[in-house]
Amino acid sequence: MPNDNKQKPILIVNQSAPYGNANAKESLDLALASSAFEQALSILFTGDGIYQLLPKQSPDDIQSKNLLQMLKALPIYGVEQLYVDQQSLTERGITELDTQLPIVLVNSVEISRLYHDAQTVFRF
Amino acid sequence: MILHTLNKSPSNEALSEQLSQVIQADDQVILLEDGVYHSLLENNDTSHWLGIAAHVHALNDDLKARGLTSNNSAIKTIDYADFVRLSSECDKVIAWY
Amino acid sequence: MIFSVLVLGAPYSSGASYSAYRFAQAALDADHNESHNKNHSANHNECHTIHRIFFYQDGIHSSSQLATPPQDEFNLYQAWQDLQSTYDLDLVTCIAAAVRRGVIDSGEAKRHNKLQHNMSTNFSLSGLGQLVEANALSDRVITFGR
Repeated sequence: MPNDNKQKPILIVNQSAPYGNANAKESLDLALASSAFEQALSILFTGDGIYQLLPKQSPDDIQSKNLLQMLKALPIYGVEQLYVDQQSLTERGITELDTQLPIVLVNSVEISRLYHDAQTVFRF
Repeated sequence: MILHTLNKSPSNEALSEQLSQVIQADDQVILLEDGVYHSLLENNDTSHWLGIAAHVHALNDDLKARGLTSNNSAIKTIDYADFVRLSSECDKVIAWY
Repeated sequence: MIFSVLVLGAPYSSGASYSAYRFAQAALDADHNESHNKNHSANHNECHTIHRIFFYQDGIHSSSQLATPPQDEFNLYQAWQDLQSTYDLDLVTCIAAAVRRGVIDSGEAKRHNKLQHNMSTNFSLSGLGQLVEANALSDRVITFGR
């Protein structure tokens, strides 16, 4: 990265379910690129985006790569926490997320803070 | 101060809800594309972004194209030069789509 | 002020590309006016530059050279190409998103053994790092979503 001393923290918001379209995959690609350039990065899962975190995904028979497996690799790339909208879970009746993900549940005040702390927000 | 842009009509309720959750009283909103249909609504509900935002603007070309004129006194009509100016005046721009 | 622009929607299926084009044009016009009127105090336009316009997801379709709208319709594809030539803009199309969707340049055609290529030479194919860099080097990233 060229010498730039200003912090430009990035927030990536995932609000799309996996597999139905490319949003989840193309969001992950941007997350990996951001961390490769050592940018400050937070990732929030909200709305239908929380479906990306359900355990036991097996998309082999729809000829797709397992998105959950790729999300599990994020800590290796320096993304230590995945923020998850508690209210979106409740609204969708979801009680169980994949236990190997470094999940932090957040409420609406904390979500608002994530948006305000970022310089740039990318939504997928 | 954040500038929010919104390009979907009011039928996309989930989007309005998300924006309402994030927006603060000194923030501004620009309605563009199908977002300009929000200008038909009046909403003073303090839990809805329309009732929270300090200023709401709508792109004139997108209003005119859709047969709308801004009769809503709470919404200012702007052009793209204003969009650029507001983008530089606010601390950051978040797109809702 | 330094802007970068992110385009996520394709022409015809979304207004993103057209709105982004109008925004870029307005930002550069303000710049143009400024340079013509810098001795006149009446002009308060701020001087803007566009560091990069990045086309990602379905946004990559704007860089097709082969799209041919009817003559009585606005040709957004041509408009982007003209804007690029006029202002020497850095229009970058995400290589991973574009190659998947069938928009490739001559280099990628050769690499993937394709007989044809269809990307406008006013655009360049590059990686997502170019978007990350644009974010780091710009004051604002303005996103035009689907």
